[in-house]
Amino acid sequence: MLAPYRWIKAYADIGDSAEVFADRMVMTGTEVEEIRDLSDGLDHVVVSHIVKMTPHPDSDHLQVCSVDAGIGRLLTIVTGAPNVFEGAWVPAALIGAKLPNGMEIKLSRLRGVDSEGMLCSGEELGIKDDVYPGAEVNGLLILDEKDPVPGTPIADVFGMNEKVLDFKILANRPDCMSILGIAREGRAVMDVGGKDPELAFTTVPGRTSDVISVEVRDTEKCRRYMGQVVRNVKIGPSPRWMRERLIAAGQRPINNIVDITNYVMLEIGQPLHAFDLRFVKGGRIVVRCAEPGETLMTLDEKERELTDSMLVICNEEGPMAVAGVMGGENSGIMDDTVDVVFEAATFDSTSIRRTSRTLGLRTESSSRFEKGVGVDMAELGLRRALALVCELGCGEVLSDWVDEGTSETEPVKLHITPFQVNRLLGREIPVDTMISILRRLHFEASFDGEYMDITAPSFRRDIVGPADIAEEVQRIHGYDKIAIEPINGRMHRGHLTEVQKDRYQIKDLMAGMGYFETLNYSFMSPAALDRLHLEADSPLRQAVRIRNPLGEDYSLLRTTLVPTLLNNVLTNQNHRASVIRLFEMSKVFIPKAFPLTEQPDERLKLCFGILDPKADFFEGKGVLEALFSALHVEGVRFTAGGPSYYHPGRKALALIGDEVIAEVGEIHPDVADAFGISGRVICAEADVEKIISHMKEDLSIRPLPRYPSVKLDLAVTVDDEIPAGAMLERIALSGDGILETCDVFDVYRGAQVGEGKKSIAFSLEFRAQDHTLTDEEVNGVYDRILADLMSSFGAVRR
Amino acid sequence: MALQDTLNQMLQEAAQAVREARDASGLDELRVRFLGKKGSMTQILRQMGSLSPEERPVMGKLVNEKRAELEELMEARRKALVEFEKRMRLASEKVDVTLPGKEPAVGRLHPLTLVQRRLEEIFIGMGFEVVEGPEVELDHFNFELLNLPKDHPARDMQDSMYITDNILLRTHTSPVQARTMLTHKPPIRVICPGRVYRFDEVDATHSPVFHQIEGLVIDKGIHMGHLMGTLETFAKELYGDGVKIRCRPSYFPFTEPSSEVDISCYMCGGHDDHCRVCHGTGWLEVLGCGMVNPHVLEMCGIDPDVYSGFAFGVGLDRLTNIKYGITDLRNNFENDLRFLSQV
Repeated sequence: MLAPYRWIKAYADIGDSAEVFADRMVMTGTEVEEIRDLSDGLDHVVVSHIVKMTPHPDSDHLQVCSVDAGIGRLLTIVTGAPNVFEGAWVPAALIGAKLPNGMEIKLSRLRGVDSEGMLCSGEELGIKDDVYPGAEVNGLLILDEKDPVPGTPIADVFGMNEKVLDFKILANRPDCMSILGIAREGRAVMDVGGKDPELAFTTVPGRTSDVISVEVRDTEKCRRYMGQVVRNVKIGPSPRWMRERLIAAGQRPINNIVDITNYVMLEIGQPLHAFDLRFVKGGRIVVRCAEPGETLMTLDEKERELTDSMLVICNEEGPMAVAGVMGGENSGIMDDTVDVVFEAATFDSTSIRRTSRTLGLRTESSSRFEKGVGVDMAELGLRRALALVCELGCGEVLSDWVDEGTSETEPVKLHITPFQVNRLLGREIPVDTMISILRRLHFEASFDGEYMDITAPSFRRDIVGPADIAEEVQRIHGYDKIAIEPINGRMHRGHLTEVQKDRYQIKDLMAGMGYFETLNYSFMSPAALDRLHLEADSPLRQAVRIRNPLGEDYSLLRTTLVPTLLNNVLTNQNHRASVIRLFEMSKVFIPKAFPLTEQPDERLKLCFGILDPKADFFEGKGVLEALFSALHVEGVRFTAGGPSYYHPGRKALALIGDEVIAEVGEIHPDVADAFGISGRVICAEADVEKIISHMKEDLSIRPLPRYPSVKLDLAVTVDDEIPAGAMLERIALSGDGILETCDVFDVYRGAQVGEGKKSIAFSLEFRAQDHTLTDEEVNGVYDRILADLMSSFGAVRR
Repeated sequence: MALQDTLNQMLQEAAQAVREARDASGLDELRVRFLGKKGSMTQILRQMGSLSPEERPVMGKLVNEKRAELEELMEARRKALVEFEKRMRLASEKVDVTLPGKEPAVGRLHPLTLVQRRLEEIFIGMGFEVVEGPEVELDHFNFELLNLPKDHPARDMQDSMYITDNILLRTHTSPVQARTMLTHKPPIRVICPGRVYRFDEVDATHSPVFHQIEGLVIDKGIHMGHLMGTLETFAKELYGDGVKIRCRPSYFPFTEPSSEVDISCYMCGGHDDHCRVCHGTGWLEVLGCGMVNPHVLEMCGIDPDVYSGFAFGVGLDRLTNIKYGITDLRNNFENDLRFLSQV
């Protein structure tokens, strides 16, 4: 909210420094986002008088002027402006000025004549007609002869010798959404006084109630409606001081009546509206919800479709305004308006918010109503408007007003002990300090030796209990006076849970194995699911959909981390990375049922991807195996299979029992193509919680073996499609307690083993824990292993 | 004594040859030539038969001495040659140590993870536990229990992404507070790190996804002095003992009194108008906090007349950007290796 400093100062004796005031406001809880100096760019620009003007000897369009700029001697300034004349009063930018358009004024020579400055146009000074009439003419800004004393800073003439504070009003303090509100707060925090706005007005004979009637049909949405007729208005521009304040506060001046409504809204915080009485057909004002199908052309010249939840102000024929949001074209103030109805009403904040949202129309008025305007404000606002009508002499105020609804507000009263306040603050604040601070803040407060009786001012609807009083007292007393203390009491053991530590370990292992951690948005594009070439009934397509996404690409919650990881691979490939190893550990969101009635399952997944000409399926599988080994996850077996976005012959599921804990594979070339990736990508996705649940907890370390082992190799020929994993499982079963390890060390296909066959070689290590193995023992087991391979797989020894 | 002369002469000859041997195989040849079955020494021994019985033992002893002498000579030469060959090999194996090393591939954790861990460490050191909650949250926990009923003006402060009327992407980590209070009896001392979501278009300073760490302490007798003490300790742990904190009154629906807390700039201490960290303001606005609103305590089943507590929320992305001098929030989610490899 923009608040011109001098406007605030009119109602609070806050001194001359906007900076000091702003700082104090910030430290007591009213944020100031910026202090703007309106005179920026107008330094060294002054009122000047062209005393004498002669044509430039060397130019047919330049004039050489002798200018009185109030510095004790006449300046020579050359100008080419078409409208210059001797005796004119014009703004002169002196040497050293730096204009709003960036132009720096220096001593310059124009065709042999030194020019000691520049005579300025309105445009050069960034001034429009609404700030100074005539500012937009082509040529010099000709000043009104009433204004000038040569040398007067031009900012004073324009009313721009002003600083404007941009306040960010917090949601609990709608009472500060006005100059008066800021002034009131300012008086309290600076501990100063100030005068109140002038509210007195004079009336002429005639009663508003004889002219109009008001009927409020929805008293929930409209708690109070005041109407006042002003006759014989003279529509015209409002006075300079009012226009200056409006402009400084960011409001465009329109005409005196409209300006008064805006001025009061800015100053008092009560939005007003003015109707032309001619258009209040039948003299009836009805406040009701719109009927289905009703429309209204609002003042911004847009046809608005109204719904039955929107409150409208109607005449006998239909809507004239969307209540509290914007008036209609059909009833506003015009140049020939003679009689005016001022409306000062209290509309329900929720209703206004919804209407404003639905219409996509947010106005100064609606934003104030949304945050809450008290019913007592309507009368204050109306009185102020009528006082201004009298001050401006622009109309005749009839002798009463129409006032429907309630004017009563129940003040918030608290009966609390000082302890209830101090227990939240720590260092005790004496009760008399509390009382005096509260009174400064316009509370009524007293202390009977045990309890404080506190009545909050009507505009402080945010006060509920002792905690609010604690904040009020401490913020004025100073947050910097809060005394720091360590938390006492019982011992607390801070720690991560085992699961949290395990997750950290998994990330650390991934980084240790050469993978870079990525973080992606939790969103997924429906198109990405298509790029994965998922079947129509794939469970991964059953994603949670955001109702108001930031675009279609961000409309689903991820059911898999693979697509975002592939995007990351592509990003890096586009940046010419040739070796890419990435991982992400994040949640996926799996709905329990559609339509969604409860929160989805959130499952933590680990996904990693490799793009490296040297990498193949077995690196992906190997990383999983390394993880399982380091994390002591035992009993994992890999079987061929997995989602359709993997290469059909190069994908595997990692299982414990029947539970899938991870998938790994080479991305299907069609999918890689669809993502724009060239080359083979190895990818894996694992369920972190499942892995952690299978981690062996109680680790113990076996003593080192005391007896030597025997190592033997075994090579057999089998049909090509026999999986090595099945053979290894078979061998392990035949090990008879002395087979310590068994690994595949060679697989060979070729002419020597024959078509459709492969030779596979195992290295076996045998050991007994309690004696040195004899050849007979080892050979016996070895022969049985071989026999089992022969009978189970048709293996032939090589 | 012709035989003795022959022996001496042979020995001289052998010694000479051993000295001149250039490698192990040359030395082996000499061993055969002089000491082998058909070697010179054997031939001399064969001639012993021609000696008198008195001379024989003398000569035998002499031959054995000379033989040992020669063997010793050969062994010495062999060792010298081995040593020489080793030195030659070592000399030839010299490498240019300024050539690049063979790095095992090492990845990195994301900057946000690193900062999150650092913060967790700090708070764990102060006795906090780490708790988590769902990212897809019920309106009830995200808003209602935090004193933000429907149509509360402060809901505007956090534009939400909704899934259904009552389910949304959590807009802050504060619902974890409510969940913790509902399931744990005081004393409570927890932090809740996590992802949060707002309806914000992506640009250099806005992201629809970001990260917070929420803190919550509930016990008897907790007051603002404890809150500020906790936050000051946190600030000093994070940025060093030299930093100060500054509190400004503020407003959050779920705390009362509320405060924004600024940490003095650890980089310039407020002495550099062009500081890249604080941009000359001297202060870093990093967190919001306050005493848990009594109404919130009540709604979460904790008696506000017996217990009090404080809560705070830190923007993790902001702290990360401050720490690493990241100026564009988008970098954190682009996952460019050129970015990720810098931490």
